[in-house]
Amino acid sequence: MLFPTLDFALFFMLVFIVSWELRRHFEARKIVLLAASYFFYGYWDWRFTGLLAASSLLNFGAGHLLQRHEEIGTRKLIVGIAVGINLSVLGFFKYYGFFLDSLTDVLVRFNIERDLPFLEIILPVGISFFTFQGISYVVDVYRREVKASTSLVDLCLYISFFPQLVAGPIVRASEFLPQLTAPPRLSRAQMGQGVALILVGLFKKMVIANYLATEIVDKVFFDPSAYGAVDLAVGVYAYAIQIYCDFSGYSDIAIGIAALLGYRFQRNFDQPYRAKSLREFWRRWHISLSTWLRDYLYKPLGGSRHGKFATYRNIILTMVLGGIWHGAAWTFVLWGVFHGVAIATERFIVQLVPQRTYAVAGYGAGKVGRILELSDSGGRFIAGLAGFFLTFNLVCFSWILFRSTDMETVFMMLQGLTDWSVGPELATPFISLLVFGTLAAQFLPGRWVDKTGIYLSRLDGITLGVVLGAGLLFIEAVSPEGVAPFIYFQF
Amino acid sequence: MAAKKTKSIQLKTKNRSRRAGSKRKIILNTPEKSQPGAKKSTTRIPRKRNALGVKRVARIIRKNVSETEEVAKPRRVAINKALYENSPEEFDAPWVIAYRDEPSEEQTSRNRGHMLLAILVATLMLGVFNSNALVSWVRGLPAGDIEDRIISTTEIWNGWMEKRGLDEYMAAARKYIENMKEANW
Repeated sequence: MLFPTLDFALFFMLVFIVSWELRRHFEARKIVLLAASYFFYGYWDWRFTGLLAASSLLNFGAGHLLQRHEEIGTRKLIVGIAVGINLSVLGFFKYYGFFLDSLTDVLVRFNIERDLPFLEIILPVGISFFTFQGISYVVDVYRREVKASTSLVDLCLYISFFPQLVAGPIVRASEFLPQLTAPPRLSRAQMGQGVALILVGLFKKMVIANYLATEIVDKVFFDPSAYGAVDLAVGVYAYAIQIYCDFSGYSDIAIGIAALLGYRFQRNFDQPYRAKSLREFWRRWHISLSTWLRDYLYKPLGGSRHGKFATYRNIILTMVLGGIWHGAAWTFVLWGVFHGVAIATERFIVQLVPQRTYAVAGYGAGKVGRILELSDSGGRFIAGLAGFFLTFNLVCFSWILFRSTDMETVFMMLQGLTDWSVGPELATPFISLLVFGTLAAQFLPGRWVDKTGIYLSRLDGITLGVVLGAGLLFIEAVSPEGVAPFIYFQF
Repeated sequence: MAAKKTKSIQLKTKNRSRRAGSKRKIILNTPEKSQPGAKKSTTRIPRKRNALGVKRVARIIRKNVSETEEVAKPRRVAINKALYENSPEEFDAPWVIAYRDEPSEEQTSRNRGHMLLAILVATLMLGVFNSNALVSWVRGLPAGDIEDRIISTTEIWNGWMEKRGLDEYMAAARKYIENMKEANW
């Protein structure tokens, strides 16, 4: 059940009415939300509801055992087994085929023929997300950052809550479980925020992402040799905007729906393309995943506590595993390697640059001081601009690896980017407007959606309904036909 | 509405039920303006929790409400939820603490009604101005008597909307976008 469909709209209306009717009986309310979440998940494929239930039971049991045992050795064993099982399930469904394909390629190179046990494995939707969520719960209980949930319903709802089940954000137990134990409340701010996020998310996904996908991105990546450098370059930028709008649009809708049901989630994207460095980019892009990788991978590996080279190694390892998380293909591995090496290099360069002393010592009085101050702020502006330009283009280059289905497509794209003799065919004014207009919108004030939500929260029910209806009609009118699946569903 | 001071510490609150023994609810927010002529009370409560924090907060609240003063509006103090939870016995009955930004049960009921009304209005607008999409959707329903009736009703509704020209706005917007797409450099 995709968000921008009438099926989901009817489903959500029913869930909204029933869940708020049960607000005084909040245990029953949670059971209804849990049932709705399993119905939502089962709408894709009912067979995988069993997998979801098994994952929830495993994590509940592990948390319960960790709460009961105090000995460090036992606790380590329990968390190790729980994390191992979670990762094994994820590895089987996601990487079994990739592993066998890669092994076959290697064996063929050495002229070894073997009948390997290939299986047709269907990838359960959202498995990466709910597996990571379960792991974060178990590890948080182990670290005593959160108490193990005594309610199976709460834990199952935490893992399977339908707004964030299939494509995130990856919500922490410390954020969500306390909300489940408290009586549900709906404030005007949540209403305004919910409506604003849903409208913005739908516009990003149904208009911007869908047009860019169908009009340029799918075409250039399908056959790069058929287009010139202008189309390929705009196509790469268009993919950067498409994946941002697709994924952040989904996150916005998920957070908005959760807000209308009385739950607060953290934002998952914070205008990532205005970043002036790759480290800043990863603080703004897919925030729930990057913080997950930082807290459960980078820091346990040692973080930056064991010297420079260990830090660079940990950064690269974390980004490589982050790339593998996205998909079972060598292009994702290379994408992770690229980001890891780039971030490590950036860190190395930053440490070499001497610190400015003016800002510490003061510019001094008089004309000289003023000139120093102006040149400093001018220099900062130029440095910021250069940082934005370099970061954005590095990220877009990495998206070539991310989007391409194989290395051959990557090489064809790179080769095609050198051929400027052919004029634009797909890069029409409309596409350029979508791409560069969305990029310009990255520089809007950071909380403009929140402020819009505050404005909407002051409206009465009828006016809010008119705004919501007008927004939905506008999106429906300007969006292309059909509903493309969300990119992150494949992860 | 003025409230006379009594011996026990009570603030005039928004809780309109004045039954004896009813709990007084304190809306804990930033301090509000007092009545004209009265001294403005701006009490800042420390955010961080410490060993003396709770007692200090309770003292400040009591200090705000002297036994001889009459207040027209409730005095409000900002309080950290953790402070209250740390030592709830300091805030003995009939105090009921409401936290900043957290709506009450009544407010939630009202807001739920507002949101339902908004959803209904939006649904009506979609049904009126985008009835074509509704027809396409119901045609995808499985065959059956009830489904056939739904389809025929929807088609009649769509016909009414088309007669009144209400579907033209969507068609005009789509045409405008098509023209934009086809524009060249």
